[in-house]
Amino acid sequence: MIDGISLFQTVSQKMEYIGVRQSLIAQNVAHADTPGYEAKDLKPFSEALKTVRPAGMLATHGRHMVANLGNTDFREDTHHEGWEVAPSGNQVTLEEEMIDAADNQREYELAAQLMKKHVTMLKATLSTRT
Amino acid sequence: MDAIAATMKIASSGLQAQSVRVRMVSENIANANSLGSAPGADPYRRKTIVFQSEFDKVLGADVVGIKKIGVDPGDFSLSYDPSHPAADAKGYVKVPNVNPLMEMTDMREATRSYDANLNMIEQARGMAMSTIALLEG
Repeated sequence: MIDGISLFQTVSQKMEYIGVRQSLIAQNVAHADTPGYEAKDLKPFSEALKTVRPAGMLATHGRHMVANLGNTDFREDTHHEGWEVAPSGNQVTLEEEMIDAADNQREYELAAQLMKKHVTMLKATLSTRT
Repeated sequence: MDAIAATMKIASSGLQAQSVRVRMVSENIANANSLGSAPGADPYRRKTIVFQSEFDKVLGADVVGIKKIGVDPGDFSLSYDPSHPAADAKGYVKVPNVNPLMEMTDMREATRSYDANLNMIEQARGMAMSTIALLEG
């Protein structure tokens, strides 16, 4: 329901994006010693945002169906290049992944705080109705 | 399954793989002096481990698995000890192809990867906690 408010939608998309990215980073870290493993990453969120808000069709009639355009398939960055490739063909650099993970966590914290602030603002609006 | 729970599962597969690796290392170190018992018999052969990525259908992600636990085909070195039961006709005993320095390096690397995986779990938990904190106040 609160998805209808665009900030909530954007922020929850962002949180979802960060979650998916975190699982990819975990995958890279887990494969730090797997021969031939190629490190994975997502395209930046700004790019994902373009696919999040496509021009949708309006439902002007009761029998119109509106497609669910919530996009959770964030695109993988196929041109991702890691810092180095080990002799075994492994592309994961733990340091790089740790930096990405820390970045990711910071952004998640920011998104969560934004969400919280926005709820507080909504509450403030509601509490004026006495 | 949501991404944060998946993150923890993926990282735990990494933890498990690395702990098997440490087990192999300790097996090698423990057997660094395990010689044969019959004349000319082969001593302990160093074990090696290779990881591979396995697709987990439930998680929809690649987890780590163990491809194979093999043996190091490297040559045994010889040490002169005619009184040993494993000594050959010339008095030489075959010694395991375990190099303690190499095992220690391998162990350090495994520990480092283990820590990194543990770090991922901790971060994912922190993220889950800040989501739960949205319920507060």
